[in-house]
Amino acid sequence: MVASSPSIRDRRNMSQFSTQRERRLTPARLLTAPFPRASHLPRPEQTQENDAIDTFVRGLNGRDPREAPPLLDRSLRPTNPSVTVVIPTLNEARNLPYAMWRLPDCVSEVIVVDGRSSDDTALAAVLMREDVRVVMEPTKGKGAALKRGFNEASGDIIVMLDADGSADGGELERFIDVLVAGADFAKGSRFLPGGGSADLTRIRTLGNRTLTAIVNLICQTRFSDLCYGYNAFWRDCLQFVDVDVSGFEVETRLMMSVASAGLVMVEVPSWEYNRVHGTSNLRAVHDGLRVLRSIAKTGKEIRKGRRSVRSQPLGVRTGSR
Amino acid sequence: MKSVVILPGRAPHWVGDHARHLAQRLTQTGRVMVVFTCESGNKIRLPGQPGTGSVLGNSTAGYPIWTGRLSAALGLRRTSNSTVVVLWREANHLLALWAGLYARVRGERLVLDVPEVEDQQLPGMTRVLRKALRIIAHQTVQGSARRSSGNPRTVLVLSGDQVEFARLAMRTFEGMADTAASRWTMLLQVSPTAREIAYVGVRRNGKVTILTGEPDHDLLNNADVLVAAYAEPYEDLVRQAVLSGGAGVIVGQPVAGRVARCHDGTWLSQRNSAAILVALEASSGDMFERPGSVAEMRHLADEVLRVVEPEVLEWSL
Repeated sequence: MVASSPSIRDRRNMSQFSTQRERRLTPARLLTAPFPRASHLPRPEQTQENDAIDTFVRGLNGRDPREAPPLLDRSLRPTNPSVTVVIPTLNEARNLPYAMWRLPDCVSEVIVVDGRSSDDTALAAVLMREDVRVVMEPTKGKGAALKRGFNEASGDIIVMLDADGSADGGELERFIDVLVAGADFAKGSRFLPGGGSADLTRIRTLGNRTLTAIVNLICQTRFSDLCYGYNAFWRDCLQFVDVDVSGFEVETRLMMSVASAGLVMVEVPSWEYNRVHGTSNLRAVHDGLRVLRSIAKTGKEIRKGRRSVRSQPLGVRTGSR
Repeated sequence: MKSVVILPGRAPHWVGDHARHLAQRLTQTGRVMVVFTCESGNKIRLPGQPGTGSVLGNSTAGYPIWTGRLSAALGLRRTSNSTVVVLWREANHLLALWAGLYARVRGERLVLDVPEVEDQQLPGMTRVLRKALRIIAHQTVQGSARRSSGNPRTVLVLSGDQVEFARLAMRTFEGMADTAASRWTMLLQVSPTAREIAYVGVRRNGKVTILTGEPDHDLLNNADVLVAAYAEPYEDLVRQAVLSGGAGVIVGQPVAGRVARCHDGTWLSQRNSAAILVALEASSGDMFERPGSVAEMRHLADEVLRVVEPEVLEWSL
């Protein structure tokens, strides 16, 4: 097998890279130097053995570990972002006003994902606010609804909000401030000072604490609340947000995927109110076991290969606004 | 004339509102203190809803409505002419009995105020204590409210010549969930100049009534919730309705996004359907399980006042 010679473009890239490496790296230059792209890196020669290794490695997790991770350019984020709120619903026509009534003026779009409700949720939702858009998603599960909502969202920041009205839309500005200050993902927590819950029973608190400890052990994080559905994140982080599960384990899956990607996730204190109408679909033991299974599955995937993000510290600009 | 209104135990919102109304009426003749023996829980609190204050509010005569704590119920208070003990199903009847006995020992006039009809069997001890209370009380006023009645509530939106506000009200009615709409009678008042207002929706056809002209006196008194726009002529009517035991929502108040309710009991709402619907449910008692309509609760307060203070004037809008 004859190794293919590098193209003219590859040669130019290689020479640029080596020239940059040879130049003296002063602190100022270090800060302003562009990050090397994947295409800048010299590629190894393609041999039969290398192809076999490639095939073997790709077969494990579907990705080439030598492939440069995706670049997250925080400098492109606006300081006055537009905000989209995504609300997955299932027979929540009476509770929807409670989910939306305190949303601040900075919210530019509210996407209600419905499709399986047997009541008038979709009809009522359209009339709640001027900026509401109803999206029909026939697939079962909160994960599918969230995924559809995320795909439809047009805002710079995407907020996940439960439709039962237990989360206070007035706290949203706190989440947005944290994101504008530099975080990639703002996660609501009921166990931080300033947060709390009127809805958590002792058994649910115990379960949540235990599951949080397990996730913290696997992901090497220090989170205080695992199963809470009030979160916000920048739109450019969507590629790291995994919500491909159906039940209440969706928040766990999402949090583990984001944490393992190396994104900056910051907890924000939040108060959970009682739902006003109807009863919760949550079953503490049954859903706790589902979350545990999801943790095991996601943990296994993380061990196989992390899809970490590559990003520069704040203040370093690589792109233009 | 001095009066004390005692709420033994953790009082639900509707009991607090009833006590506020009683106090408002009693301040026409003298000093009133409302005794809350327990702090209200967070379980039934809306975001932005303020907590308890140093006083319950101000009477129309300008005097403060004082509030007391458990110690006042136990006896650490000034002597009054009359003591009203409000009883509901989950009230602390032992504490009520103590407060009643203490009032009798001090020579006060003891009146029991029982808003709910006793349609359910009470626990044995509660039954005994309530019977003892009835024996020691000078008089008992029995209400007719039922928690499971499900009677429709009437909402009257006072829009006058504000066409935009009337349209927002109709959009709100249209956006109400079907299960909620069955509990409401919706009235929209417009002035004769706003002739272009007509119900054009499809979901609440036949349920929304548009009234042209100035609001009727009886209608104002019988409506469960009055809604008006902020800084518009009908805002005063809403405030007066709240002072007289009704419920009111003011739409478009500048701080409505952060504060859900004023200290006088008026609910605030932003100018969107979701916020108005929440304020409607909260003020009407749908959210807090108020057992009776405003008219029923007003009648009950009248009865209590007739017993406690016969010379208090009838109050209506």
